[in-house]
Amino acid sequence: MLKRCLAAVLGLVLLFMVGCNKSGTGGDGGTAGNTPVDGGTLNLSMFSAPKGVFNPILYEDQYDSNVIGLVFDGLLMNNEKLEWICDLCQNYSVSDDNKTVTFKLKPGLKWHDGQPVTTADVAFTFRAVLHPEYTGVRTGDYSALAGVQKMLDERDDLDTQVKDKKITDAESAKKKMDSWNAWLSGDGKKAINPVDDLTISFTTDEPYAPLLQNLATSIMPEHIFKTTEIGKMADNPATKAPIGTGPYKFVEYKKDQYVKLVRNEDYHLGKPHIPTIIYKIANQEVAIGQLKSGELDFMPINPADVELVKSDKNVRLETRPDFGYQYMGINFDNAFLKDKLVRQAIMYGLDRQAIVDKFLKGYGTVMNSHMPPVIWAYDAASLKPYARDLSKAKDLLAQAGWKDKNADGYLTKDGKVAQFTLKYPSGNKVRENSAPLIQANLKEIGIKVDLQMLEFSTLSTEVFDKRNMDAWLMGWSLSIDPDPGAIFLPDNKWGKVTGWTNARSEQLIKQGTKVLKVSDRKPLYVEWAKILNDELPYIFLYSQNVVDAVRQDKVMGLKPDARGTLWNIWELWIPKDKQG
Amino acid sequence: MRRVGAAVAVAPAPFCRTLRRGEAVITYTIRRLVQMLPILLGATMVIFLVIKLAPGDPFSGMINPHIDPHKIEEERHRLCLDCPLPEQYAIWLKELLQGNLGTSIRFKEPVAGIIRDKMGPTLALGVTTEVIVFALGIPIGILSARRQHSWLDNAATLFAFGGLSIPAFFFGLLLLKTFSLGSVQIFPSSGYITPGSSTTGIAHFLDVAHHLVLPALALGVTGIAGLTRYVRSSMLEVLRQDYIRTAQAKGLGERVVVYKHALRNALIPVITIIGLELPGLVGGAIITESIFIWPGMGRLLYTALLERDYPVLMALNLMFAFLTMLGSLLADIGYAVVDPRIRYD
Repeated sequence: MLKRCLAAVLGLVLLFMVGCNKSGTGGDGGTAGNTPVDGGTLNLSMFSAPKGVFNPILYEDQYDSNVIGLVFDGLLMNNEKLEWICDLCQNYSVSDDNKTVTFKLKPGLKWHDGQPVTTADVAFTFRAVLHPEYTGVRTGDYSALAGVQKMLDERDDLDTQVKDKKITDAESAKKKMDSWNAWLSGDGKKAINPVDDLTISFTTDEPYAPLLQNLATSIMPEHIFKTTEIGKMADNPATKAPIGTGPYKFVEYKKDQYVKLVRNEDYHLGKPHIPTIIYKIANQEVAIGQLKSGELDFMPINPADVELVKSDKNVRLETRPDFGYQYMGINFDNAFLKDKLVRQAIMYGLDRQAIVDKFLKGYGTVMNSHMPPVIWAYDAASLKPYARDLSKAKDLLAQAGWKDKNADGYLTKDGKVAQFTLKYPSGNKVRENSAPLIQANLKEIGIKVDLQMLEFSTLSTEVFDKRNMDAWLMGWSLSIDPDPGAIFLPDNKWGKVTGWTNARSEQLIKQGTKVLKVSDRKPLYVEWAKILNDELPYIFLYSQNVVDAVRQDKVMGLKPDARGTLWNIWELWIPKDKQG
Repeated sequence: MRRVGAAVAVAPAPFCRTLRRGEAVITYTIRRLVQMLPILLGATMVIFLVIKLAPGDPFSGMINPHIDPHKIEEERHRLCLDCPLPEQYAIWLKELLQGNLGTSIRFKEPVAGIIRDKMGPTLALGVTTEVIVFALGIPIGILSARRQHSWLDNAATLFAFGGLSIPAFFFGLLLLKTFSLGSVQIFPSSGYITPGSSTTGIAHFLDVAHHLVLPALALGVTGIAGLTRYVRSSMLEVLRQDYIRTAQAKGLGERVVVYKHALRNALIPVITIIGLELPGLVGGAIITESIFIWPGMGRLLYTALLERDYPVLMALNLMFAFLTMLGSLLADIGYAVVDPRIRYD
């Protein structure tokens, strides 16, 4: 509550600021000349300080990944259609049995310290993630590689034995190392196979479509990390001061202040035009003023704040759909919500369009199933849109046996009131505002919703560890590959939380990873999304667009698309008169 | 002539008394410091319990389909987050006694280093703010009391109410709008140093000072307003007392009465405030720090709290507990210095 007040007042102050600040320099002074020139400093911004863990396999904070993205490259990157194309590789091929991918590296690639990039670096990166002493959380992404799932099962087994006090930690650690060494000299040889300095192949037990995406992760320099034990990788200075192959070299991170980067003259896609990038930590409320005064050249902006910069001729707004969406999760242990008719009634009863129109100012899409619009597996036409329809909602509830017997406005059945508690986390303003809207909407169809706002970690413990909830609000941040296995297969932590199971859904999810071609996978995911659209393990809410604001009088060469606003950062340039 | 003679005659007595008093204060201080240890130990236990009993842990906020739940369990086990609480506490205490504050779970670096990095900027902001507060708050308070109900007093009262009512963040934004983002741009809008600069020595000091002005003002104005009120009311109280009337009656000038006789007593409550401010000096100010992107302790505490970064939380709270006790001890000693009637035996 306090936070919301604060935000409202801050918003007011900003309005006031912007209202008073119309004396800026006029429009398109910088667009003269279209030949890129070198020079200048690009001032980017983020709203939370990175942790300073600039290690592609150890970082946990999205703000760290902003920097990692500039410093490192992966084997693959995306084109504008979000297909996988070569980055560090020159070409790649998939074997006929769909189990082996072979990459040929570009010759002559160099690390920022001048050392050559070889397949030893690639092999090191992926082996480190699988190593038993690895302290990060990404191992699961590579469980499809040959023999890995078996090794991971052995580790789980050992962990259980330790928990039951059958063996000690030391014994377990030793056995894990044994199984690791066995894997290295067995399946591991074909799982990650550096054939020569420039050729490396990866083999899986079964064809596994999301592997390409997971292999696209940033490659780390073996020569820097090889002298450090995998378990102590976080202590290696290169975790804090990274050395990569990307367009920008890391210079320094002043804690909570800024990250300074300089261009990599040897960048393999072309020498960047802008010599220096300062990635500033900014206050979200102040940043708009800083953008308008020219202190910042780029900021992600809240849909609600777009109005404040829209009229500024120097600012260009770029909108694109996001890889995520928000939902209201359902606990299937709740007798009321367990009924599919009730969930469908809730979908009809909610004014989800109002969330998009009012809270997101139109910068978003109503969601009707799991796949967000930006992912190729999205197919709006095949889904029921659940446009708001109160009489339909009431009919469905009546069908399910819920009637208003005492005319108090709330439905009952067998003496029980149609009622549930909605827990939601603080921190995301749009989500916070959605909760009272849901409560009001559902009251209109006779369902009583009690709201309970919790701090994020508290809520996630309640939901994912204790399952102490009827319904909750949260969001997913997805990636390019549409495989929803981690979220909807009931045998894993995220998938089991609802308690919803569906044999056909499981079958389709598993099939979807076994064929590699998009044209073969798409029908499977479309059918799967339809099941979710009908079954509603979640009440799907909305997907928010990303809105970026850039100084267009200063930053030239932008080619914004699905990859982002600044994806071609090495091609961007600053006109001479703005370089000062 | 007589007065000089009397002064000479009694001189040895206060000297001895001061000496004995000095010894008493030192003994008292040592006794209090020793007493602090068990209290501090108790405090760490309570803090540890409260932090650990809060729902969630450093990993519970990580909700991402690419995060391997088995790996999270492994990490929990490796960090002993699944151990019984007494065992976890014992491990923490043992490390502490060896001078090790632990390694941050989220920053993945030693906690001592993280805190050290924030100490400079936090103290710079805290001390500057306090200096502004006391340098302005005390004189304004005194003037206000001396000229009660004058236009000056009324202006000061108005200012105090304004200063107390305006939230620091709002005032901060107004300062930004006026002095760094509007047509007048004389102060930097954020940060502790100029981004990308690598100045040292005097240039570095000036750079920091330049960045310090707005946040210190934003923080200071509430403090000045509060202190003015304290000093004013305490001064008024003292001025009404008999010994002041006596001093006035024997013909002493107003300056002597106010600054020599009244001020000392009027400052006793101020000493309490100074003592209470000590943990605040290093505790930072989360909202002002966020607005001005000041790399202070307040934001560190806040994010550590949200992320349940236990080692960071424990270290910060231990530090605050210690400073709170130290602050009250210093205030107690300060009383003795100002007020000779207070005895410590």
